[in-house]
Amino acid sequence: MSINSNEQRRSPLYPRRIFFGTGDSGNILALLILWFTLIGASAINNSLFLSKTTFNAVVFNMCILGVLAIGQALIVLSGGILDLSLAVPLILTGCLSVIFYDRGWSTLPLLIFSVLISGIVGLINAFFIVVLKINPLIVTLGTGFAGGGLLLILFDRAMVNPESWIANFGISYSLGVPSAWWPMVLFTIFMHILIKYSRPGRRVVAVGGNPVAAKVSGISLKRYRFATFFFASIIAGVAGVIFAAFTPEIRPSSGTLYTLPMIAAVVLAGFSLAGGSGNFLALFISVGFLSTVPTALVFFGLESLWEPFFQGVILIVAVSLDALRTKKTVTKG
Amino acid sequence: MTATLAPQQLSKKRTKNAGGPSVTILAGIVIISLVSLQGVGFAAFSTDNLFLILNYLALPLLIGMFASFSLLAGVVDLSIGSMVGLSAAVFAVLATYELNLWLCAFLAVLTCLFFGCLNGIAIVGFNANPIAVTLGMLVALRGLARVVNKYDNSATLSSTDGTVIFIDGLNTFTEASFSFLPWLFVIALAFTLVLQLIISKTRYGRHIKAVGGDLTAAVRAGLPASRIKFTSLLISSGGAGIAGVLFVGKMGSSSSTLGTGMEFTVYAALMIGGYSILRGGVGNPIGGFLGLFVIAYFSNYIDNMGFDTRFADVFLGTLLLVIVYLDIRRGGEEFE
Repeated sequence: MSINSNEQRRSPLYPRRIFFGTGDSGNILALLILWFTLIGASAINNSLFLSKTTFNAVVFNMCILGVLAIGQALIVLSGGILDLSLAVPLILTGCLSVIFYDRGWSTLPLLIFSVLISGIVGLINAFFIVVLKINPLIVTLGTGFAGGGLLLILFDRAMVNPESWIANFGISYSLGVPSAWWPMVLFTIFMHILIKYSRPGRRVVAVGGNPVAAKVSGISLKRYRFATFFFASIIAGVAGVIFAAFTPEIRPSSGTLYTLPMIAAVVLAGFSLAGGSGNFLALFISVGFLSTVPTALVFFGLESLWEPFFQGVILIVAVSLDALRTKKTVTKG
Repeated sequence: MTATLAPQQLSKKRTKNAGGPSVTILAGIVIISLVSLQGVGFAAFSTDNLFLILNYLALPLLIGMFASFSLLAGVVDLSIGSMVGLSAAVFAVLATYELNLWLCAFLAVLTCLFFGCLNGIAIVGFNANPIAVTLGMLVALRGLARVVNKYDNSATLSSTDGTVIFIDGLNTFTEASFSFLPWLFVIALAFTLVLQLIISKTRYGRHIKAVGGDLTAAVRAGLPASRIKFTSLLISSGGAGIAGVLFVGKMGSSSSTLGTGMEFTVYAALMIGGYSILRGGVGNPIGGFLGLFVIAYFSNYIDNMGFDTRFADVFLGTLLLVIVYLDIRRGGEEFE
């Protein structure tokens, strides 16, 4: 299998041609057009689509998916292929924050502790990948499965107190949009600047784009693997707090619903699964598109039953397009 | 430089491979025997219990053997569990409209072959990552199975949770047994043995191994690598389709959760038996059968002890990591 083969790796120095236009701006434009086409088609089909209710539904979808996708994108960018276990820190933090709240913890230690504990999942993943040298896909498939089972055993369900600040955060508005929208926006801007302009950020791209060259030029692959998997779990943990804000009753099994959409979002945004290229602003828009799909489906008269089908199809199409682009770039040399 | 290194690397690899899957299989059988002896007692080895195990094992064995084609060719197909569910749903729903049963079964398998074909186009045609594509297919088909189940024509309340259809002839066929040997298991075992011959003795078997083992070398030797990968994906989806129809016969219904997580169990078992989901070209059907036997014995143990089935997930996840680590120890591909 060619997951790690060198043919698939491209230099991060040369941006790819995507759909039309060159580089990231063309990709963002293409995604924007895709998103507005979907909104336009739904609005023409049913004018009720352009309502406050739809807006809220899409925004709420985006809040959790957006933060999770940023964690996943960090893994993909750094050449960690995919993290299939991000649902574990998501649910773990969600449940822990509820439990800590019920024990009367104040806000700041609650947030810090529950999010840091979920970082342990990332460290376990990194241990298997770096020390035992197992392929990340297999590691996270295993830890995701085992972790999901453990969560079911540990927490049957967690009831969020409707009076708590967590639940209030979910229904509050700031600057005209739900407050829960802002963590995603801040994370996107932060990651964009970090990856584009900071030294550790450039090194993450280098590790993903060409690990051999990165190693030769003195970057510690091990340290960056540990760091990326740890931070991806932390980011998923933050998503867990937002998840708790929206969900009156957290069930451990509900986390797996996000695994596929976040992969689809990352691939659709133009992150190469081979690592080393991708843009966080494009990710923001692809998350917006994917979050609109479920609501749009309802307006097109399809039941929510169809949702997983379309999620799967979108992922397959996105992965195929990604592979097709990579193939072309390689043959063009 | 590389030329001088090559013989050393080869010999190193050969000594590493010498351990083979026999270690993991043996370890698995010894551990599970001791554990069940301690927990269940000698009843764990009675023919009654053996019947239960083999009855449970028959269909996963059939699915695993068809899927082993794609593992061997180096294109893992994670969507087989959902394909079982979809095939069962299509078959059961069509059967409620009182169509000819053979036609229903044919259409169910055909549906699976269609989606196997899509897998093939994405993976072989577009050169997409097999795990990502079939993961998408897994979710898509799971959703589709629920949708299909909704359109049944039975007297029972129409629901998305499944379709109840008891087919007398098919049930007798799937439940028939000779002493403690279920016929379905005998068929699956016979298929395993035939497959063992195909893989080890025929040209086609060696071609699959060559394509999975070293794609570049196989292409340079002039093997039709794309066609072999494509057919292996078709075979694995077709097998899942057949198994789905048989599941309906066995259970008298198609449930929308049928086959959930089956890909995980089957591949963990095949990996105990020496296959690898990250590199093709390794493993043999008899090893795969023994691996499945270990897993079947294990779930039988959990049933007998009345344990919470949620522990099975934790155990299987951990087991997967241990097995892959052992695979690396015996010459599997290391990450970085």
